[in-house]
Amino acid sequence: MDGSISVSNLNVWFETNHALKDVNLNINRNEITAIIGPSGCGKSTFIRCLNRMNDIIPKCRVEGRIEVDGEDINDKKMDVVEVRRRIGMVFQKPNPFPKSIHENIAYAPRLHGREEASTGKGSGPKRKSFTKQEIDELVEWSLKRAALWDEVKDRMNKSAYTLSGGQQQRLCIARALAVKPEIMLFDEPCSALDPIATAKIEDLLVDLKKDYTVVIVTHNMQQAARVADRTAFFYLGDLIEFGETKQIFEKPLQKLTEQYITGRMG
Amino acid sequence: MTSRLVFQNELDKLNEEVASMAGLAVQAIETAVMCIVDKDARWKPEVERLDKEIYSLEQVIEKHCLDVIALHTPVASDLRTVSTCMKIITDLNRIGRYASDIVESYEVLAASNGFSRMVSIEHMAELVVGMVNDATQSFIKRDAESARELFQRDDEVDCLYDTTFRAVVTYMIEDPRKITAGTHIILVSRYLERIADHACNIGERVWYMVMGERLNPKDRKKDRESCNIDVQKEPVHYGSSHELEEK
Repeated sequence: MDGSISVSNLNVWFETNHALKDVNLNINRNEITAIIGPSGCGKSTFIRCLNRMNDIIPKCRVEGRIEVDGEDINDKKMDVVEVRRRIGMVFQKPNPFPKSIHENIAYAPRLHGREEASTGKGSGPKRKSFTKQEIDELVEWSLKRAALWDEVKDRMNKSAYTLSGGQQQRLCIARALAVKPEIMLFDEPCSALDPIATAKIEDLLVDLKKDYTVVIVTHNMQQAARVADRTAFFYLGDLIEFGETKQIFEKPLQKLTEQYITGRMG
Repeated sequence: MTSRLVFQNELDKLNEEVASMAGLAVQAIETAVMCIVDKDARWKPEVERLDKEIYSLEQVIEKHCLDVIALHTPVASDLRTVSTCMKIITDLNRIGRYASDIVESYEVLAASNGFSRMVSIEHMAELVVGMVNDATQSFIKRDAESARELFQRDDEVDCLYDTTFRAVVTYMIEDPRKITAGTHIILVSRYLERIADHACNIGERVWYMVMGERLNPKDRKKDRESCNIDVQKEPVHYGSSHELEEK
């Protein structure tokens, strides 16, 4: 599994509103790609296309190819649940389940089960239930990977709502990691957090890119500058500029990008 | 007032401060050259005052730049503007120091008649003041092309320095009594030549600020080949041999 994403000729309409216009973009593995742009520019629409979250929006039409490891995720044969397992997503506001900390992480793996190697000709991979010990190990691994384990290990059975906002967000990240995705999408993950919680999430993002492809939508340009390897600037549904973050913030090639990042527009 | 407006006001203020510092630097060179060419001691304290004022302005502007970075986190062209301001105030401060160094030679040169006319010093000073003025204008007008042209003019100043150096050394060899004054003339012309280099540094920073890339070294290559003036045959810049004999 590579985890690289190739987007070609992506167009999205919400009824007559052409929300994304012919977007072409390659997202590399082991990199953080930031999506920036003013409100309504299509950045959230774009990231939601990457794991077919727009499927649940009525009157939304998506055209174009989005390939993950060479497979078109919009192909009718694609299992959308499997797509969303492989491409995890964390949202703006932390949204833990009304369950215990342990159960928040254990829920999805228990539902999905564990993949086993195929046994015979023509048979696809089979799924097997986790044992309790395996679930416990997975919960611990996920919480450690999300840099939350040390803070919650003594209260695993407490409600997830007892955690602070930043901890809840890291719990959501741990929850997404528990199903072993290849790609992680973050839609403004720090907009509801204070600077300390934000710093922890940013450190975590940088750590996660070692193993995952990371895409982050952010309103905070300094956050994009701090964590992203590459940055894409969207404006009114067009991808205006995509390049190395340093280049975008030091010498953008497009006037619109310059105007946006310097606060002259937006 | 939106934060961009506040930021823009800060940038405008920064530009004004740098322009006014550059104005003082030009004034300092002009006054210093007047002091030694006209042998007028009244200008010496004025140059020293200007040097101090330039130095304190450097402190103020540097602090202002740091405040802007800390409070407004500039990026792209805004960041290049602030970093350019921080760099060129160092050049302007050095220019102020050189003006002060020039008037240090006042006593020696005033007591000497050997190089009384100092034609090339005046000519060099004229070129150098023009370069600093144009470097300042290129910063104010964000004019990358005129910033680059400074490098060609620097070649001319370098040639004048080489010519002065060789001519003065010739005179010193001819008459060892002129060694002290000659050395000071060489020092003054060296200071002027260094001021021209600082004007070029400013031009280089302006180029980066406007274009977002470093000036290609090939584009500022100096053509020292053209500087082939035979000083033995052309000592006329410094007055006739007869005048020098007088002293």
